[in-house]
Order: sequence, then C-alpha cells, then structure tokens
Amino acid sequence: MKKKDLYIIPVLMLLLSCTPSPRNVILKDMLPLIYPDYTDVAIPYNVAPMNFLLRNGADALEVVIRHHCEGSIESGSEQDSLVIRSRGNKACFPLSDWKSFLKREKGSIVNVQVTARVDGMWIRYRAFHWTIVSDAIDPYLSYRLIEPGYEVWNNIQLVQRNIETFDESVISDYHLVNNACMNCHIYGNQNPRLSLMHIRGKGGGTLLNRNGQLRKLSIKNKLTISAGVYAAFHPQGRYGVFSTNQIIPEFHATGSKRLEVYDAKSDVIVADFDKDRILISPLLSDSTALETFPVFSAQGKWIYFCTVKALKLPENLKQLKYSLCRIAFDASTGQFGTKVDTLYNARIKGKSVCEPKTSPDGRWILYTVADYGTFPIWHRESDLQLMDLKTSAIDSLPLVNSSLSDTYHSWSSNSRWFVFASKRDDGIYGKPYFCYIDKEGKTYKPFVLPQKDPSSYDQTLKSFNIPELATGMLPFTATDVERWFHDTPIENFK
Amino acid sequence: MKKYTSHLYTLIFGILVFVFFTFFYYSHLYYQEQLQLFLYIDSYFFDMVCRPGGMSGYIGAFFTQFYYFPWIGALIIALLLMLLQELVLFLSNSFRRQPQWMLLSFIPSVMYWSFLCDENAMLAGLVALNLTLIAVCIYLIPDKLWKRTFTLLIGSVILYYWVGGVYVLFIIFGVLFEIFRFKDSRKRGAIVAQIGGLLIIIILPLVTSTFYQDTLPRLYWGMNYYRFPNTDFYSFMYMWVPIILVPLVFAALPSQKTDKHRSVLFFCQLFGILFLAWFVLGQNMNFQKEEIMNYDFLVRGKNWPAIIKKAEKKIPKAPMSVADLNLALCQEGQMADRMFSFFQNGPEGLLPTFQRDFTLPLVTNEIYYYLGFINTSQRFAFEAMEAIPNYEKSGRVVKRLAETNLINGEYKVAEKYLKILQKTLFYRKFANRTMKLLGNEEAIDKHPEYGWLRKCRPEKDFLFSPAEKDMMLGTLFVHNKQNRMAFEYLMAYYLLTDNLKAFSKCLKLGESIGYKRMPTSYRQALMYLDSHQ
Repeated sequence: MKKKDLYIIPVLMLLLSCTPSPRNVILKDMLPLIYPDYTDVAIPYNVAPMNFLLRNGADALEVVIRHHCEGSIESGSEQDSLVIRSRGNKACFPLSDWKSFLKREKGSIVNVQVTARVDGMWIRYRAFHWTIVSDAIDPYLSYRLIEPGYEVWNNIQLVQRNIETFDESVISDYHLVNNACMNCHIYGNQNPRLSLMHIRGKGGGTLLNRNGQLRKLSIKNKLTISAGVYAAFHPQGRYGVFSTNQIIPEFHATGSKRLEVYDAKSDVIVADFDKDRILISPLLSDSTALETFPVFSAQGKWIYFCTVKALKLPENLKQLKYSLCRIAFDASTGQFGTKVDTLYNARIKGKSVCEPKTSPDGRWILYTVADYGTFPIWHRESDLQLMDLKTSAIDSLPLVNSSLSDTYHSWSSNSRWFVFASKRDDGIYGKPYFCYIDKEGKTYKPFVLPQKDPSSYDQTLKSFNIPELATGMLPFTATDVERWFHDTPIENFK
Repeated sequence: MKKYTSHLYTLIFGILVFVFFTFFYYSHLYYQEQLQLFLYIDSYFFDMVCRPGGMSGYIGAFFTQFYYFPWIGALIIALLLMLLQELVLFLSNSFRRQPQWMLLSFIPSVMYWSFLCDENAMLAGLVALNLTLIAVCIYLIPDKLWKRTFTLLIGSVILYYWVGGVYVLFIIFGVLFEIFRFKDSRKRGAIVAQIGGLLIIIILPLVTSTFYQDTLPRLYWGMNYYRFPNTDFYSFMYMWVPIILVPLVFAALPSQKTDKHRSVLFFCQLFGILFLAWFVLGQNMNFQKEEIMNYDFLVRGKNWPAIIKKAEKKIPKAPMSVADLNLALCQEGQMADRMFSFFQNGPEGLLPTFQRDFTLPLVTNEIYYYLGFINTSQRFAFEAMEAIPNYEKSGRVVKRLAETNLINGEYKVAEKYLKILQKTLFYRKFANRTMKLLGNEEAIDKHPEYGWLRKCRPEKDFLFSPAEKDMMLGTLFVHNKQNRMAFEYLMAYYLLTDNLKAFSKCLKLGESIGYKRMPTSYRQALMYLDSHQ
C-alpha cells in the first residue's frame, strides 16, 4: 500500500464504527416498542419497505428478517435473511434488498428479530411475524393531504403515492387552482384512466378523467340540492352516482368531539356522462328523507345508499341514524327500480351507516358505522363492518378496528385488500391503513402506509384523507389540472 | 481614520435601525415570530431548500425565530441592513471608486428598512438580497473572462434555487460589470454570458415549473419575500432597482475635486437620504398596528397590569385592543368596576366574532381559553394557523394546541405537538416541562392554570352558537360557580347589549363569587334600571 493510500484506514474504521453489531446480548421476552406497529401483520409481497423506529431510546439496532419455520425462532439461513444494522433508532431497509427478499418469501411467514442498544446494553426482543401475502395490492394510492381543521383550509393537495416504492406525486395543488377547496378523488374500478374529483369555487367543477381527457362538469340542475358531492362510478364508466347535499358544520363545546357535520337536505342522483344529463328517482330524492353515500354494486345492477327520515336538526342529531339500502338500476335504459330494499336497519341495530362500498368481486360490502350522523371521520366510535352480500352476515372486524375513528375505505381491484383511514394513533390525524381479507372473508391485522422516514408521521401535521387504491398512475398531473381549472369550459348537465 | 469613516456611517445607521425596532416597533417583530415554526429537523430543512429560493427562506426563518426576543431580532435586522449597505458600496466602488458619493449606498437599505415595517414582509427577502450581492462579489474575483462566464452561468442557476427571483440582479450585475469594469462586453465569452444570462432569466422558472408545483409569477419573482403568496410582485422593484441604480450612478457621476464641493455634496446626500428615510418610513410605518400588536404581545405574556397601565395612558379604540383590555381587566379582577372607564365597542369587544384570518382568531382564542371554553379556544387557534397565508405553522398556536389537548386529556395529540415543539429553540423548554404532565392527572389537576381550566370546562356537550354567547357563558358559569370570568363576561355581555332585564335577573347568580361590595358598573346599571322603572 502506498503512503498516500493510508487515508483509507481511518475512513474504513469510521465506516465500521458506523454500524455497531450486537454484543453480550440480553434476551427480553417482550415485543419491541416499534412505531408504526408492524408486529404480526399481513403484508402484500409488493409493498415498499416497512421501515419503523424504536420508541425505547435505542441508539443502535439490528433487524434480522428470516423465513419462519414452525417451532423455531432462529430459522432460515443467514444468506436467506434480510439484515440491517444501523445507528440511531430507525430501521430502514434498502429498497432493492427488500424487493428481492419479499419476492423470495412470497406466500410465507417471516420472523422479524429486533436487537437494540439501549443505555449501552444490547437487548434482543421477542421476534414478531410478517405474513407475506401472494395477493398483490393495487400499487397506487391517492389521498388528500389536509390539516384536520374546522372551517378554514389551506395548502390542500391531492397526491398519488406508489405503494411499492416511496414515490409520491401531486395530482392537484392548492396553489395552482386559486386556493380552491378540493374534495375526494375517486376511481372507477380502481382504474387510473377513469376517475373524478371536485374542485370548488370559481373555475371549478367536477373533473372527469376518462383516458386522460379531462372534462369539467357541473353536475347539478334546477332539481338538485347542490352540485354532486359523494360519488361513485358505474362499472361500465358511463354513469356516476352522486349525493347532493346541503351540508351544515357545527362545533362541539366539550370533550374530545370537535366537529359535527350533518345534512339539512340530501338526495341521490345519477349522472350520465355521455349525454350530460341527470337521472332522478323519487325514491332517491324523497323530501321527507335524507339519502346519501351512494355507490353502484360491482356489476352495476344496484345502487347502495344510506338513508334516514328527515328530523329537526340539530336538536335531534343523535337520532340521525342512517340505514343501508339499495335500489335496482338498469344501465341500458337508465331506469331505477321501483322499490327500496333495506340491508341494514339502523332503527333495529342502533347505529348509523356511512360510506358503503362493494368489493369488486361483488361478494362483500364494507361500510362504516357510527353512533349517529353522517360524518364518521370525527366520530371516535366509528368502525368498519363487513357484510357478506350472499348471506347478509355482518362481521364487526374486531382485529381491524380500533377504539378511535376507523372509516373511509377503498378496495383493491382483486378484492383481497382494502385501505381505510384510521385515527387510531391520536384521534385527530388520519393515516391510511391496509388490511388483507382472504377468500373466506377472514381479515388480518392492518398496517399503516410505510414511509421512507418512519418518523415522518410524528412530524407531519397533515391528515391522509380519502385514501383510494388504483391499479396504476394517473394520466394527468397537477399542471394539467391547473390548465383544466383555468381554461376548460364547463359542461352543464340537464 | 478617513478609511473607516464610511464604516462609521454604517454603524450609525445600524444603531438607528436597532433602536427603531427595539424601542418603537418591537411588537411587529414578536408578531412575526408567532407566524412561523422553525424546526431543527432534516425534513424541515429539505422541505424548505427544495423550493426555489428555499435557502434564503430557511435562513430568513432561522433568523426570524430570534424575534421571540425582539431586541435580538432588531439586532439581526440592523446587521443585515448594514451588510446590504456595505455590499452596495463595495459593488459601487467596484464600478468606479467615488468616496464622495458613498451616502447613496444607504438608499437600498433605507428602502428595505421601510419595507420591513410591513408586518408581512419576510426577512428572507433581505437575506436573499445579501446572498445575491455576495455572489456578485464572488463573480468579480476571477480575472479571466471564461471563468467569469462560467461563474455567471452556473452561479445564476445555483443562486435561483437559493434565493429565488432576486437572482436576476446577479445576472444584471454580471452584464453591467462586463460593460463598465472589464470592458469585455464585446468579446465572445461576454456575449455568451450575456445571452446565456438572459436565457436563464426566461427559461429557469419555466423549467422549474415542470417539476415544482407553483404559479409562474411566484416562480419568476420569488415566493419567500412576502407572507401573501399572490402579492403585488412589482413592489419588489422598489428594493431591487436602487441596488442597480446606485452603482450606475457611481459609474456615471463625475468626481468632485475640491473639498468645498465635497462638503456640499455630502450634506446634499445626507439631507436627501434623511428626506428619503422620512418619506418611505412614514409611508410604511404603522403605529396603530404596532399598538394592537403590543396589546397582543402583552396578552401572550400574561402581563395584565401592563395592559391596564397602557390603556390608562391612551384608551384603546381598536376592537382587538378593547378585547385584550377587557381580558386584562377581568384577569386583574377590575372588569366589573372599571370596564366602562374605557371605550367599549359592544359585545365584539368581549368575544369578537370569528373571522377567517390569522390575526383576530389568535386574540379571541386567548379569551375563550381563560374562560374555560377549551374546545372553542382550540378551534380559533387552529383556524388562525390554517389561515396563515404562506402556509407556515405557528409556534404560539402549536403551544396552545398542546395545552388545550392536555387540558382535555387528549394526551396522544398533546404529545404529538409537544414532540414538534421539542424540535424548536424557544419552545423546547415549555415542551420538556409539559411533557412530564402527560397522563399525570394529579399533576394537571394541581397545575394552577390547567387544573383550574379543567374545572371550568362545561361538562355537558353543546354545539357552539355564536348568536347565543350569553347562553353559553351562562352554561359555563352554572357548571362552575367559582368561574368569576364567566360571570363577569356574562354580565358585561348583557350590559353591552343593553339587556338590563337579563342582567338584573342573572345578577343574583354572582353571589357565589363573593364580592365584598357591589361592583361599580353593576351598581350603576341597577340605578339606571331603577330610575327607568
């Protein structure tokens, strides 16, 4: 070695000193205090690295992930393992190693062994499991980033995130649309080439994306209460079903309750995107009832919606309990059925149903139940429930729900996964959680969307709102939406 | 000695700026501090510097956090304005050394001083200007034309991402120096630099718009110089144009040979600068706002006696100041006796109606907080932060949100806010102290402020109704009959709305407060009522 190459020695020493290895390890029969809670969860083989951090003051750690063999914790060879060692309290897995490991372990169970240095002592915690499911989850997720506020909004963004990596791109940006409020972005059949969202205010409207062509629609006419609000696509893409609502916000004076939002009036309508017309059924626009949260069935033959008899509000707010109903719809003629079936009777069950969504295979309907009202996101008792549409059996999903708000959800196109917004961490800031549901309808412990920096959830003051899964990337960008907002003429519906 | 004369003038100027902001305009600085939350974490840094002009924004925000102590803020502003003047002088002398015109170099600093009197002018703009002029100084170092060309082309790109729209000054100065100093403007390299520079000015923001979402005017002009994103960008020209003109004047004006001429010139410049300062500062200074901000400054510091003392000297008329004064009177137990010794503007002076801005709800949140309407205080504080036009967070609001959640027993959310505050310089101490209270019911109940406010919170939930403030105050008082503030606000509300019937009806409720004598305003109201029955 030449004299001038001697500088390599301290560099190597420095590098080696950067990755401390466990020594004199003490075994502890408890699970590590990791955040997010990724212990014993089912994950899709195509998910991004499940980076996490330790909450116990660790300053160095080692994580070993190995194939699980029954009856043995220390299973699998070192070569087949994924091992990381790092300073600090964060376990961040290299993307390429993670991908190849998950591909190899697809369909199996792996042990995750965490060893951490706390106060100078290396502690090895009880291993936990990850079930690596061979059913893929749709690779894209869109959501709205918004502060969980009251009436004032600011700096809202609609964003799409690649779940397989950490790439995130903005679909619509507050700056570019004159600071207008923007609502949910939803897909038809989880297809990125069929989606819509509302942007309010002057220049706004309902943005309909069909194969990347962006139309600006005004989904209202003289008979509707308002422009379209909660929406869903017909599976063939020609129709959209919307609620039209007169929404009233109120504020609670005490306790953990913040905001109460209810409808003074609401109806359900169907919009025909090909003929720019609105279809109305007297059964869905009854002035003595409130109808909302409509969605088409997987085959498009039914419209599921929530309804309640109109009451004097806000005095009777706590009696406002919505039932889950359905009405037939014929897409070829645009005709509605003549009777309404009740699937979940709120009067009998004592809960209010919100945001129903059928699985793409038509087997299940997943919805939220709250004590009352139509704004489950601010109801801590809100939980998801799963109804088997063959048997009408209801699963209250105890493994999925938390003691805090678990609500708005979206299905993966293969019906094996769903994402939902949960405020389980603190009751205020919502995050997207993914849950696996097998062919028999058994659900598994959900996990939160992984982030490159696992501490980012601690630092963000944004809520992840309206998470929606999609099979691919949207064919438009925020700049296209800006152009749409400023230049595209509005199409009025009849 | 002569060598240091110009620096002496700079020092005198700096002292004037320091004195102005420390003694006459300090509430503006304190006000600005509360509209940002500087965090010592990687993600905050990268989030800032990834924006065009983000580095100056980051440095500006770093300095602005010191406004928490206004005298430090004044010192920082004074130093930055002094640096700006020194840089302008250096560049002017680089065109042509003209010591007798040196006072002209104060013009840009005076202009920026007046701009900073606007509470929405951001320090990042001044940082950006200084960084740009330092870059121009660096441009002057290479003696070879190709090196300067390289510096100009590469430097302008880097500078754009560091300082934003003001980088055009760098390119303009580059071209001007080639013409006036290096006399190389007709050489190929200089022409390349000039054309390249002009193209960069046009193209760079356009290219940036393809990967960074923002409006083109903001990408061209800069986004960190003013709190409102869609401001009148042409107003920046008042600060930028003199920076170019002063060196050009140095280059163009003749040298004065005789001492007599120099003296005349000096005094002409001096009076000119003083007149300019008088004029532009007079245009931008707003002592009415300073007074309103000062009341809020004192409320934030819970300095109730100082508020009353201030009002005794000059009775406040602005609605926000009246609300602050009433709060102070109540906190000092003087409201029932003295509120009508001061100007009152009706019930709005008690509990101002919610507005979608970032100022009034901040003041109102304080009143609801001390009353015991914790949820309402939280809402007003939250909404104020949401309404900050440049989407910054607020240290003051995050602190308040931690407090309201702590009082409400929402420890997880309180912890989230406290963890964020732990990453700051001036709120860390509070965060560390308050962190120990999380989940400790006994300690919170014993806490002189949080414990008391817990007892004041209404027990039974109801929906907030701005039209029925008296009903809400009544509910609050009935829940805790020791809540003197709720009672006095209820009585004041009735008096200010001329509802003497309700006033006399509810007066008996106040027995639980234990007044030793009938408060003056109540006695007067009863006498008035008697005389009209």
